[in-house]
Amino acid sequence: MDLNNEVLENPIATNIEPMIKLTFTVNEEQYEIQTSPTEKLIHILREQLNLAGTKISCGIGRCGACSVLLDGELVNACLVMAYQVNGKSITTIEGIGGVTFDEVQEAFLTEGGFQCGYCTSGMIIAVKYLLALNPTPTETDIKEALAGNLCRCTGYGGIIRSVQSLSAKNGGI
Amino acid sequence: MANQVDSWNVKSPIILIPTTIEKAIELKKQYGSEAEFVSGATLLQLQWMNGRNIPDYLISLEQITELKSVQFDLQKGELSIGAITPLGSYLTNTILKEFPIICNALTTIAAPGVRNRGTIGGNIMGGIGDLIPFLLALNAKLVFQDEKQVNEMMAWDWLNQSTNKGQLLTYILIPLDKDILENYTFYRKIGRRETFTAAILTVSGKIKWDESSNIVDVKIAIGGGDNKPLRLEKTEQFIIGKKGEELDWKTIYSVITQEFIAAEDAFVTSNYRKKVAANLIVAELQSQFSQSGNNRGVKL
Repeated sequence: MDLNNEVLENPIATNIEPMIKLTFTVNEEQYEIQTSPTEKLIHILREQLNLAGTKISCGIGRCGACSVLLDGELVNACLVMAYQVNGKSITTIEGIGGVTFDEVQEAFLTEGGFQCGYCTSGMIIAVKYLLALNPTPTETDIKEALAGNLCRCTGYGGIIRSVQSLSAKNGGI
Repeated sequence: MANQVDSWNVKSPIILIPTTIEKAIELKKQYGSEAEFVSGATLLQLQWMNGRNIPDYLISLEQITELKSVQFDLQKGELSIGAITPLGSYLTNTILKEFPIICNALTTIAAPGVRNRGTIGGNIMGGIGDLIPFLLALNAKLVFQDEKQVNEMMAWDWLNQSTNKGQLLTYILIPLDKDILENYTFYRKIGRRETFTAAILTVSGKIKWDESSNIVDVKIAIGGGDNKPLRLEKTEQFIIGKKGEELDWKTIYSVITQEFIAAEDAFVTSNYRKKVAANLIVAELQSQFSQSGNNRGVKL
């Protein structure tokens, strides 16, 4: 028996053909799409699902503009391939907030946490991840958590101040 | 960059997703050099964008949960880390949190979002990962497996021999002497920015002396960036067996700069890397003595 067939029939392994059907959840809505297994998640989000709130910039995991949550974990959507999201849950900036702003969005508005806004989607996702792990981050914690998110306007002061205000609200210093 | 992404995406490999180590090895045996083990694939994707061939088959290890385990082995005195443990696991893993120096080393690698995808095994198997010098300094062992055997070897021997071709890296074993790990070990990464950045170089070391101030163990390793990871064995030989107060730091500095064959690129010269490495290593070794709570008469 060809091992490929064996893999298909064997419950301990699955074989995905070069064009695959993916089922996954984005912002609590289920999607099924057909794509190449190595297609980038960032392209799936922006081009196939029209969720263009997630930005693309460097494409190599250096700038954080494309940050999303994958099963609750912060990831760079430019370095996640299609087959890696099969069956998983993704949260993009469109899934943050609703009729009213999320508290992180509110803090960015109140404290001047954005300038041109290009990095803001990724920043807010990274802050959501930080606060989920540590509701009262210090300035050092904030800088460490946002080290992978670059702001070309260099507006870091307002961003750090935004997160500090949330930390204080949660009882931090 | 989008065009580059599209260009490697033209060729679509077949993705094989085994759920056991044995099945992964069986698939590798079947497809040989046409298949490559992957997990997060954060480094591999960048290499594919830069023109490296994408294999016909990717054997994804992500569903092999036992390779994500982190465990103490009290009998052996070892910390065992599964190869596909994400670099960012130090944030949530209660065992890794017990070892601040390991956590600190992991925080220097890539960015938080990448660390949630990139794995410790991937950083090693890439051959130039920032973690390799740290593992060399700690006398870490690597466990490889193929269909015939489980092969446990020192990270240093693996780096020199590369006899594991086709084998699956399953575990990283670190000697579990907490006192040595936290009190006699250092790890420093130098880049062009204060926060997340590619390395210019990474140095790591360990030094321990007995009650009579005789240096009984020393390991010094360099890597990072384009530098091939290596241990400075001549420098180690120069130091070991001496008493702390006998160390001539100027000579040690000179030995390091002679022994370290540093990479050179358009931005950083080899000489600069040598000087940075020697300064860091001498400063860190001196710091180990000064923090010992006993002034051992370090000779400057």
